[in-house]
Amino acid sequence: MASTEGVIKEPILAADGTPLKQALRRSQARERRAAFFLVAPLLLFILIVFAVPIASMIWRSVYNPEVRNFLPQTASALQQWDGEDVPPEPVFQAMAADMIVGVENRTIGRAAARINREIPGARSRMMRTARAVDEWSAPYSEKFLEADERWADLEFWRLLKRETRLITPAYYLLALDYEYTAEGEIRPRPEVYQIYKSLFWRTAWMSMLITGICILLAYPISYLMATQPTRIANLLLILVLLPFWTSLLVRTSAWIVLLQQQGVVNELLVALDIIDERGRLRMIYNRTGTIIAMTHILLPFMVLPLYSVMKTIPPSYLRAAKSLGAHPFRAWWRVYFPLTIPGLAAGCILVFILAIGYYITPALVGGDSGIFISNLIAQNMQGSSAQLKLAAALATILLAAVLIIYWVFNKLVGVDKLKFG
Amino acid sequence: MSDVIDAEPGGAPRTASDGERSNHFNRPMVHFDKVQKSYDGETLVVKNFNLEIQKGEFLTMLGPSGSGKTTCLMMVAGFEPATHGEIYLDGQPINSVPPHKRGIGMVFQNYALFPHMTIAENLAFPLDVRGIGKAEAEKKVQRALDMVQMGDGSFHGRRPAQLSGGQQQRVALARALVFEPKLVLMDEPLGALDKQLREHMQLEIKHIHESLGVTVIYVTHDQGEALTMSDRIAVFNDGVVQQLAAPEVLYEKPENSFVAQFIGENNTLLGKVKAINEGIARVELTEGETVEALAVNTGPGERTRLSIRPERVEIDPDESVSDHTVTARVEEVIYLGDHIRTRMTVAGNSDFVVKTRNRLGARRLEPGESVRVGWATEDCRALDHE
Repeated sequence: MASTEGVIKEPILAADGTPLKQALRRSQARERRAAFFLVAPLLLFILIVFAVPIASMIWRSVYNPEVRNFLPQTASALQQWDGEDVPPEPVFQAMAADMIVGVENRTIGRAAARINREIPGARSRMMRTARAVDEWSAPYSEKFLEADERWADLEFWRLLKRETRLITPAYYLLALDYEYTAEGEIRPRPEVYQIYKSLFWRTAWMSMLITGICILLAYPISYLMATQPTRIANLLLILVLLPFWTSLLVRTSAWIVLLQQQGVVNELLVALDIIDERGRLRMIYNRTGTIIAMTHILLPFMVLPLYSVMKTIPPSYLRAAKSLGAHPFRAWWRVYFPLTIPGLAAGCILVFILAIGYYITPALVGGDSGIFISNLIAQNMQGSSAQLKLAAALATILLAAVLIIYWVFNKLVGVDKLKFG
Repeated sequence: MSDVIDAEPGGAPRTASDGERSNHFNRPMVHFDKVQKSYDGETLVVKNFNLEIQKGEFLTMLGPSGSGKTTCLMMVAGFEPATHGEIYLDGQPINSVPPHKRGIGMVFQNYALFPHMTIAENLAFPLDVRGIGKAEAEKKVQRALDMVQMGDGSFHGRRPAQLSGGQQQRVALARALVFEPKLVLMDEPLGALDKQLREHMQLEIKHIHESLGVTVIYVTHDQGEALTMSDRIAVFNDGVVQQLAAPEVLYEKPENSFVAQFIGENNTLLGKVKAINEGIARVELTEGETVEALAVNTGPGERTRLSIRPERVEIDPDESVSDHTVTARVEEVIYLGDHIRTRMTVAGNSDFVVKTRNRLGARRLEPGESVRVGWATEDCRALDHE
């Protein structure tokens, strides 16, 4: 090896004189093409049903076309305006022209609704003026102010100017409990309206808690499974997988039967005199319910990668550590545990990421205190177009959070080292 | 069968008589006292096992798989509890001592090197758990790696997966020795290596054993390995020690048919003992010929198996070397370079093999040819019929 260093490397040639690398590439091109055709249908499918919708969702969360598209002349006239005084005549003229077109095309209502969201009452004023405007003539500014003196309101015009941007962060601000002031500055929303940020945090810490409980429950059972003969291990595996095989509604009603205040667990505790009648525990339709039910459902995602990793660790490692003088706990901690990290990390990332996006279980057993951010996303998706955009912004934030967590995991453990099963 | 175990320990380097047993220096390193082991409560894997292993001795437990040898090793290491009986380590009963407090070095069949630690970390592990300081640990690690000829510094930072099988084997050996245990157990440590490397490592382990003076219990099913390395060999079969002796005794003076068959190559002739006179049995073979043999493990009137090593048989012998001759028909001649194997039919046994040195002028036999073969009476051992 040492002798070849320092010598300028000549490219190695194939028998016909072409560089070997090129020849190799050519000879492998066919296989590569075949590989591509094998995955092409799936690739197309994923592109259509996954990548495109997500891109459109992200686009929708920032897309703000109403003012620009439905009040185009006003939008360009406002560019000259400095925002300090009532806008000049050309702005009103442009507004009048936009309104005439807007009434004809029935698009003025959408622009008005957009403004109305920030300035309550603006919609009715705009619609009233729009119906009258085709009979007016210049100078329009006087006519507007005659019809309604609130047309002199600077806040309205400033908002209009701000919202001429095609891309807006407004929905992201809202999703993080911030808003624009009338002057266009960003400030936290009044405390009574702040719901999303705390819900993001709740989603995060409850997911972490669920992941933690899953680790505590899954590690011993996985170890047991890995050390038992296959027959017993398979039986245990079936028990762990049972929640997957049970319909969601059956599972949920089972939880309700067990956990409600007149349920099996409470009755038992009362009968055993551990709690009295008035002290019945609330274990469902709140956080506790969400945590119990989600831990149950997500446990297999922790068990399977752990089990598959533990199965590959020969028992002789622990024996060797003990024979070398390590106390059984120390042997476990220094030798066995580090070897299970790939499975543990895979389990954690699976459970945590599934948990922070979970929707159905918190909706069914979470009550008010146990719902997750996904539940509010779902709620917003059924609302107006503005709510839909808010939902898109919330979902995009959630997606970004997942990607960041994945990235951090990759830095900490290395995704290529993970073993998912 | 247990009385066989208590037989004289053959070529043991040091033997302790009962009177000296209380003496600290002559106390056996390991003492199995009537040990039995059962996994299912129905069959015994180890039946009434008694053995004393002296300090500094290299003792091999040899036997086919399932004969109980590994179980015995695991009982010494503490990974399997004895169902009955007691094991003493340097005079102390250890049945209730957990494995990590026994201070026994062990080399596992698959090496069991910790894959997430470097070679240096693997070796430092037993020192670390004993609270030995970093500087001293480094010195000991270096010394141990030097001992297995891997101390040139290029291996310290590598992980086990980056080493070849032979190198992993050396590291495993170094790790079992680095904390200077008095006793080292080896569970078929060379099983995964190819033949050439295995033979090389056998000598290396033997030399390390000699230079350190540790006691070694070595488990293998490879009789060549056992003969090469051991001071004494315990031949296991069916949970019982068949014979415990030095390698040359085991090969030349097998006590029973199993040992004769298991160790080395062996020719068997079936027959019936007519009479025994001063330790010499007159045996009538199945074809009617009568030969004399050393009566080892048989009695008058019993059916017997005669055991003769292939290299002790002479073809067309002089009267001076062999006590008697029998007729044989040549079946097959196999040329092996340094020696020639001739398969013949002798007294109804068509698998009778004769090894002759390939010397100048030796006559080549042809298949179908009829010859006389002979041997000395003391080379023919009359053993049990099984």
